Amino acid sequence: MLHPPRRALLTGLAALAYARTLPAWAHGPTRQKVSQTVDIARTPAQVWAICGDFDALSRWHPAIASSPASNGNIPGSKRTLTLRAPGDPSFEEDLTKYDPAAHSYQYRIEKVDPQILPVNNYAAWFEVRDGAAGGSTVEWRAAFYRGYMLNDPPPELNDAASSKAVAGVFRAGLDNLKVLAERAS
Amino acid sequence: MRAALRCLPVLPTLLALLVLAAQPAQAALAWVTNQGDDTVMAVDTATGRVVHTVPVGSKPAGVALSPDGRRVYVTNPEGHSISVIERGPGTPTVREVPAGAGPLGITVAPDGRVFVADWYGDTVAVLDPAGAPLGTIRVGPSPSGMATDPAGTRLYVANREGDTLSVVDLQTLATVATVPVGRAPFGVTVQGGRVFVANVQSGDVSVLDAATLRELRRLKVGEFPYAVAVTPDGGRVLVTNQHSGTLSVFDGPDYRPLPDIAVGDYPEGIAMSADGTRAYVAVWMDNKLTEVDVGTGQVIRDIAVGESPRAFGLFLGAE
Repeated sequence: MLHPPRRALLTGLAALAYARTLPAWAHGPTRQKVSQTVDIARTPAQVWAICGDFDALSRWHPAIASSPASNGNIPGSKRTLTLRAPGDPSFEEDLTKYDPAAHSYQYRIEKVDPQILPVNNYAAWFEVRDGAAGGSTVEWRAAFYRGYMLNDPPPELNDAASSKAVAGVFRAGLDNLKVLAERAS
Repeated sequence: MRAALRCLPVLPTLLALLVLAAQPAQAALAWVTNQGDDTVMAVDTATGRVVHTVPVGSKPAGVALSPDGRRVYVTNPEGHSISVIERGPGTPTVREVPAGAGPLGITVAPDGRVFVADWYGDTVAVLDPAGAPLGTIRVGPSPSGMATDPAGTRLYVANREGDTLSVVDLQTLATVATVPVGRAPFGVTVQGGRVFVANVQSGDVSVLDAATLRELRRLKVGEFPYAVAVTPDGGRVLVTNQHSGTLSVFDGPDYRPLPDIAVGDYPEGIAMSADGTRAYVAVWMDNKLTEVDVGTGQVIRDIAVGESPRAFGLFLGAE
């Protein structure tokens, strides 16, 4: 079954197929910040058991077909994400910090085709913590620049479009993680 | 009550003296640009309280103060403008002035002239203290951080896409030298005859002799350094590392590295108190201004500010 968030993500990815690619790497634009959370009626340890491994992404994110990591949960490990989309688009993410006691990890994207994800200089944080009303809260947040680094970006690579794409990826993953975690006993 | 006060004309004076005595000598306001909500907040560094929230232009980033601290200048990169905040007895007033395609870095010379780096124009605009244009200086690609020397003779400009530092004569407004530094230089700080340049992509700080422009040292710091603050005696150097979430610290004339200080994700603008005992850091991801004890390296407190604070520039001024 195709979850609605996944459909939105795939539509977004398809729309981006026509985006221009640009080599420019600069900091003129404004850095964007995206944060999405989900509350799950399971303990942080139970949720972390599902999503805590760096290479586990494809097991809980509906838009990711595979996510093998080069060196497990050791900082420096690279996971290669292949999307469930025409042409099997893929890119790498680099683990920068891994803290199983705090149920958190951080990673970066060195380089990604803006047709796949319209971002530059992207860093992200993933954390499972105690929920305010019991259970757990999962937060996924990122800092990045838009897909087009020069002035006057085309609409599909501007700040709003880039933030929407990242928020869509996070939302789809977190919503599915909640379903998987709460289904498990 | 009023009659009683009239009988004691000395009382108001006494009260005023008591209030003054209670204020720390270094009370100052920190003017923090909140890039995510298009405001500038003035934080009283003595109390940690936000005393003003001023709406400015689109996506404010850079900030600088007039020598007397009465005017605050803010760059609005997306608004292609600067905002000029005038402080008075009540609520500050604010005006927006057009300022090129990509105004980002900003600094004020001791004579009150304002310099605005245009990221896209590869130029620096010169404005009078009221914000009226006086001229334009051609510098290198994507100028960002800037600083003048205390005598007001030179302006130092980091050219982020040129890996260079432009040196401008403030009398003739001509670029007199362009010197190579590290990769992607951003923040520039002048203190004690030294120019400190944070090189974002090489993860280090260039220390140059301000007179000869020779690079004396290259200090290895954390990932993606943004800006540098130095104590007035030059004895301690603090550097914000955006990706590491830390401050790098160096001590003494030979820049001996001390342990890093963890402050939060994406620390950016940093400013030093006039007495060199406190540093204030805008922490972009965590929406806070962090106060650090420079002597001990301890975080004293986190002050909640607006969305995505940057505070790129010398943002501390008189109360």
